[in-house]
Amino acid sequence: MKFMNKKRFGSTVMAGALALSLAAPAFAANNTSTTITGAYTDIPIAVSVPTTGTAQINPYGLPVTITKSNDTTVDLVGQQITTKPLSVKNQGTVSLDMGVSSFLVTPAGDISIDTAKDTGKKIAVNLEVAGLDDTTLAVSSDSENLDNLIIDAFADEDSWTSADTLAAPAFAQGATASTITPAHKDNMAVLGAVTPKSEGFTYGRKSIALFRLTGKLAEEPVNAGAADPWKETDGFSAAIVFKFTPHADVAASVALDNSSLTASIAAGNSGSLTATFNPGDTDLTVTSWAWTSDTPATAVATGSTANGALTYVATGSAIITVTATLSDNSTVTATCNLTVTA
Amino acid sequence: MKRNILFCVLLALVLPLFTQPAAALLSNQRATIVEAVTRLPVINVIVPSSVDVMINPLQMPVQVNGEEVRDQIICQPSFIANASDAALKVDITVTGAVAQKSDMQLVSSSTGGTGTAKNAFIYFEIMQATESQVENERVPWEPAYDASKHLVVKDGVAAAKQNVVTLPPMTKDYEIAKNGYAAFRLAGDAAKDPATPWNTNDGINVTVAFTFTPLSYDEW
Repeated sequence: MKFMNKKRFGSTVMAGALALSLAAPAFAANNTSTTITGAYTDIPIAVSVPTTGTAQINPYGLPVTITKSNDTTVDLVGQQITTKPLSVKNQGTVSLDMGVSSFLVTPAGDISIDTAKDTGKKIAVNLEVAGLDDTTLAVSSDSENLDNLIIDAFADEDSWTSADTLAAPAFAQGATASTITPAHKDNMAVLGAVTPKSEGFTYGRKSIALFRLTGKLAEEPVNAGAADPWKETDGFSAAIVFKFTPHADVAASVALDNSSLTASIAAGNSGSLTATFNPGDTDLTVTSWAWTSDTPATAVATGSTANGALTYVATGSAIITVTATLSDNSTVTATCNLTVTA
Repeated sequence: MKRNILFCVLLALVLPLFTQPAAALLSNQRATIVEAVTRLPVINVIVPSSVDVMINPLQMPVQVNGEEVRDQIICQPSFIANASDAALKVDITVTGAVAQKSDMQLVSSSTGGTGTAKNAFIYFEIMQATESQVENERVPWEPAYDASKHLVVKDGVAAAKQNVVTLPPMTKDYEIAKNGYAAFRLAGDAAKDPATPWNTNDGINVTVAFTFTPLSYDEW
């Protein structure tokens, strides 16, 4: 046993020596290598999505009155599928692309779901997602008025003019959900980030999106030539799974109506350029404009608005630059390559 | 025993893996269920159950709402009111019947008050009405029969006209809209001096069947 221990000890010493010999190059050099360890950090998705919602199959588009917390009301009118206000709020500091990874509408009663209505109880159901760009919604997270503002936006059809739409897949009566492939769509809206403050945060003008179900159906359905009126037992259940991924914010920018311009002095010694500001995904605004020329001997640029005046002095080239100073004191610029000919 | 304990521990560890919901959400997903039920319009129309009409061939003066009238067919205005949450299209079917013991006849064109036969020309008139007209029971009736608007009452024959009036729905305060009414009456004329004089056996029964069909919000 003692002999065995000695043997084991010996082999351990040998192994240690061998290991050191192999590691020698690393120690021998003057520490010229760096180990960089990479690890993925999950970006936390802080988004508020209602878990449930209600809608009505409303063949005659009768008004549905929504009462706000201040006891005023708004009506949702003329919609054959009327959804009570639903919204998604980004509550994180990262802008998000909002998509739908699964949308399936399961019919109940005598109805079926299809991509178009017909004379029977066949309903075409769409999911509409409307990203908002509304400075009135850029309020503190503890604002008691936020829900009322969202209801107003929801009831205003103008909010939906650029909504993205996803049609529910056909679902015949008697079919089982497992046989239906749900619809899906990426990038239906962008949810802007919020601005943290000491307590809570402030929503950005794009932090909130609305969503609703809409659709078309026959007012007075018929089945095999006979009236088949709507019944209170007719309904459906829409299961929506939203997907959120970090969004690469579009920075504020300014653009000129001409990026290159050739002007003839003979035709007149003055011209103009117009700048357009695009806030991108920011909430920034322009506080001042400045116009410059890198070669005043060729052309002079003046102006304090988005419209710059050019005065051609002599033939040659000049780069005209417009600089917009933004509400956070940063600047964005755009240039025009000007060529002045005789 | 030790093996059994080990098996149980392993089972407890493995079982949750198989009981994960099939559609478990990823960390960047959120789910919403929107339940939809059908909203049916509540059709509620106030309709008078009976209306009196007087055949007055000799144009005797009759007091109606404090006014003296001498029409040959006198019928106070009657009203229907839409207390529904939907606008309604109104269709009518009018069926006349001469009283059993009467020998009068309902004819299809005006008698002009003349003739020896005991004829009466009676037509049904309906028009949109306002709240104030209902309160005052005064309606700007057409001055004469108009085939495009009125229905002639015939004995034992149903006459129908569709979409005679549209009644807007109740207001948000659940009150009848100001123009949510329709006024109707019977009017016409009769032979003044038939060979067989008019008597108390003469009379008519007119059944008016109203059909109300909801209109979509966009239609009105």
